[in-house]
Amino acid sequence: MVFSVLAVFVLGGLVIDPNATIETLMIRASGVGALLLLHVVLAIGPLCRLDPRFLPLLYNRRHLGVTTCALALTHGVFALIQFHALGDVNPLVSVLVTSREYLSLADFPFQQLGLLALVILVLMAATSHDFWLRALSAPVWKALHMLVYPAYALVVGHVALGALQAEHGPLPPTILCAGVALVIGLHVRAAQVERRRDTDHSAGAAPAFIDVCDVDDIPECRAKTVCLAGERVAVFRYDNRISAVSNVCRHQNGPLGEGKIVGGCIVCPWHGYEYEPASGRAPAPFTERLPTFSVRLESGRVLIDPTPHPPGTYLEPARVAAAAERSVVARSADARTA
Amino acid sequence: MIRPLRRAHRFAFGVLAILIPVLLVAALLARR
Repeated sequence: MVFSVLAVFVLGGLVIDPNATIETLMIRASGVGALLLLHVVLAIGPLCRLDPRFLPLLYNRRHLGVTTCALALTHGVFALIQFHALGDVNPLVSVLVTSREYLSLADFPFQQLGLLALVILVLMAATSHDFWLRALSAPVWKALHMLVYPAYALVVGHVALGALQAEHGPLPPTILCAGVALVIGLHVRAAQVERRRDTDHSAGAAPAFIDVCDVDDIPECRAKTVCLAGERVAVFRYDNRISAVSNVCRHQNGPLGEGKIVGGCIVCPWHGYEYEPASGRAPAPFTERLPTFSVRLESGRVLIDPTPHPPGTYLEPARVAAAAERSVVARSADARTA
Repeated sequence: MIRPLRRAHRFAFGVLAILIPVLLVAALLARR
């Protein structure tokens, strides 16, 4: 994939500037490729939250991230050779001392921004395997990988203060501005949508059971995700039963409420980790366990106790049929008293 | 997001969302 992206952009660069040397073409191609892929990687998360049809992209985000890093590394190495390796100074030292005009926008040492972004991308790519997720623990791993946002800011700075200073046409800055607007706009829109969903049930969250939805709002073998007391809970319906578990997969914090029940188990949409809905336990020989939540049905409404039970606690699922019968009983009782 | 964002995360995102466009516009205006 790295080579195909490079080939496309090298050929494109050759068409735009036939006199450019192969080193210059490689620097431009790898830089443009890495910048483009970084935008795609950053857009995938909010797109999936806005529309589940983008979810298949999420499963490949890690590969795209590693490809972005490989392209950025190619860009860095070629730039280092082209601009910093021909003098007496160590090339890496040369990057750090090439300019010290930190107060000037036009002469700012943009190379250092790129180097710092590259260090973050390499760290992320190097720890992208599940081994590092286990070794570092999920919160540390997640914090490390959230550094992609500061890295993005550094990359935008690197391009705006570097390549764009030498470009005088309106197209390159327009494209970069559009990319930045797209990434920020998608994140803000997704945040607005999520905030609305979260506040639906958080207001006045008391320790008692909270009415979250109608039974018929939950499709068979699917879930409705609700936010209770600041934590998201996935409420699953299956075989006329309702169970509620934490929305957070123990593997990589994937959104279980966007998954479905296959063969009696909740399947995480990200990497297929499985859990029994009533107990929150992964089937043997796996050992992952989710916190579970007590569920009650009253007149066709689903009520959840927002206090989680310890991970792996078996809770008898609420029976949808029983609730329907209860509502029939309630209706006939109303008819008798009328 | 899997969990609602913590306040510190929201603040950091807000700072970046303002900083990046400001930096970009400033850099473009500084072009010679």
